[in-house]
Amino acid sequence: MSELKKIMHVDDDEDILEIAKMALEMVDGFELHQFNSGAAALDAFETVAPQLMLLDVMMPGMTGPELSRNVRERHAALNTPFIFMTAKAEQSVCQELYAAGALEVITKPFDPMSLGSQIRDAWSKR
Amino acid sequence: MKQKFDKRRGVQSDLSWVFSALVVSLLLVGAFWAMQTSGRVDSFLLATAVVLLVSAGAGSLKNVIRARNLSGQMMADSMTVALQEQILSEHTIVCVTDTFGTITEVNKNFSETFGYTKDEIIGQPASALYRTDAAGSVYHAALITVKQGSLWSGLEELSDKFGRRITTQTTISPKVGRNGQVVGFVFIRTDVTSAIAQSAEDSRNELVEILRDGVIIYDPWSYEVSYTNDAFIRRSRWATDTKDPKSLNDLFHKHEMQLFQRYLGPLLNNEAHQVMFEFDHASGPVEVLTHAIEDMPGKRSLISVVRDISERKKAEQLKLSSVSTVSHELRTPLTSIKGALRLLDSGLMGEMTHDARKLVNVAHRNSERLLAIVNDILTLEKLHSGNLMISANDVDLRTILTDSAEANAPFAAECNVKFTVEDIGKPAHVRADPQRLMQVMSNLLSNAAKFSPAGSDVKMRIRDSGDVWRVCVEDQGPGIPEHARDTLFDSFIQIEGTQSNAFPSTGLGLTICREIVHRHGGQISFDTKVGEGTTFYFDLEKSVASEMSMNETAVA
Repeated sequence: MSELKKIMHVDDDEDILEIAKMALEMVDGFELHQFNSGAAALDAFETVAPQLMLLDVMMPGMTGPELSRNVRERHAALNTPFIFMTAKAEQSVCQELYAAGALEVITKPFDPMSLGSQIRDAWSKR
Repeated sequence: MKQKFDKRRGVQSDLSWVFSALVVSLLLVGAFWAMQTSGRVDSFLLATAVVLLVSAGAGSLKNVIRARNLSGQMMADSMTVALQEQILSEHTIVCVTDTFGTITEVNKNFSETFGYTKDEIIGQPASALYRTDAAGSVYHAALITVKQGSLWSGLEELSDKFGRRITTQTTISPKVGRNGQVVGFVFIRTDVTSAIAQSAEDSRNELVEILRDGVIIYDPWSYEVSYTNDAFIRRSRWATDTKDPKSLNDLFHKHEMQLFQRYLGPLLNNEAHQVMFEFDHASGPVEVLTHAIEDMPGKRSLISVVRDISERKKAEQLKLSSVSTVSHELRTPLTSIKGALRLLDSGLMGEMTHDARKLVNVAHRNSERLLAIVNDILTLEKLHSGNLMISANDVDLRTILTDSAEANAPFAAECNVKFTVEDIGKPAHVRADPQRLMQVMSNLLSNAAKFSPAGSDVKMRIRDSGDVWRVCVEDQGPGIPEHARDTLFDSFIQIEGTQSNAFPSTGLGLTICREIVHRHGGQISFDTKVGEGTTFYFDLEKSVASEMSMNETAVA
């Protein structure tokens, strides 16, 4: 099993991108490629070739689940796993996301100090 | 011969009096019925009135007939009178009394209408028929009028032998003896009970027809439908496509009928005055409000008002989704605030001065508090709207108590108190959602811990209380001041002077507890003594499993 290094992070909230970047690069030493829209992320997917995607759910334009569907359709062979982050913490919402094939669902607000280990745990049970 | 002649002349003079009274009375009776029947003047009643007045003037019909027979003349006329007597007797209720009002004679219709045999009623006071004292005093006043030689006409409220209400259109005439003296009274009645009921029903129906809610009246046992209004029929997608439903079964599907059967029970047993239930009808959600009514004297019917509540449901849904959206919108900025503070606090961005760290802690603690409020509002909103799923599992309350003591132990340690569980020594089963009960316990325990003096115990125990188990959480805190007791379970209520920065609360905890306990069909309350402590408790109905295990214990 290869070690997780390169993560594509997509969220429309710039502040959250900033916090996550500090947390995941400074605390956990990941290589983070961030995009603020689903469309931009989809365009760059091939170039970045991430090992894992960290996706916000509610985004204008293309939602997280839509982006994950598009990636799977275009790059089916890669079988890139994805983790959703959502501020809607209801059980029913989480269940839907798992049903859509999510490796993990992390609820917001997340703890930046333990975000990296949450992602690693999910990566290891892949 | 002379005697005969006199008699005839007597009769004739009687009749001339009758004719003048007849004209006036006909007008009165006719006008009255024109009013009562909304313009339909009942020709039969007029005919009755004619006959009645003939008899009234002559003292009584029999007197007239006897007099004419005695005369040996005008046979054709007496035939007519005999025929009139027959009509009178067939269609009206006749009762004759003496001057004291004691019944001396009744006809067949009287017995049939009032349920008394001739033997039972003859010799009884006519006043006994009147339903109320008020009706009785009208009767006495009427007799005074009649004694003076006038007729009395009006509506009377009477009771039959079995106490059923009978409304009659009554004319009382004097019975005149041979010497022209009043020797008694003749009561000629027509039973108008159903006509009155019909007229009341007509005006009620007119009102009901213009309602937007569907109204249906039916028999509580056979479900036979006696009335539906326009709005009801207009509402589409009934079980069968009928414009003229005969039975509730024509309108509702089997599973809907089961709802009716279940909810109408308390009405039929007189345990409730009205019942209400909601269900999802094929045409949208509806609310059914049902009352028992006395449709006809002695006949009970049910009236259900079926209201379309789709708009209300939509509004509730909208409210819920907007609360959920607001909650989402608040969580997103909170993520950044909490995240930034957490990173600052971690020291990764460089060491802070002691005071800077203190300020970051204040900000972080308050962002936690804000998040707790957002979460509580969301929970409460879901509880109010009924959208929070409450699972019904068989739960042993003993497990809930020990688990909640364990889960909240860190908080107890922070407050320097101890949670203890008193063993009831037997299973205490309820049907409940264990996760939600844990939420109730956590709220009660954290309140108790916050208000307890350092080093004290917060005691949990279960009490066997008949049909219910009572769960108690007892603290040795300052007690709840009297002015705060009534509103304690309301949202955002916090007792003045008890806010602590170390252990902030949202002011929603007890409201959530109450909602959850209510959703489980239980009750929550507290006993408190200022200066000694408070015991919060909630009651939950024992489950069948609990009964069984109790029996098992007893057998063992």
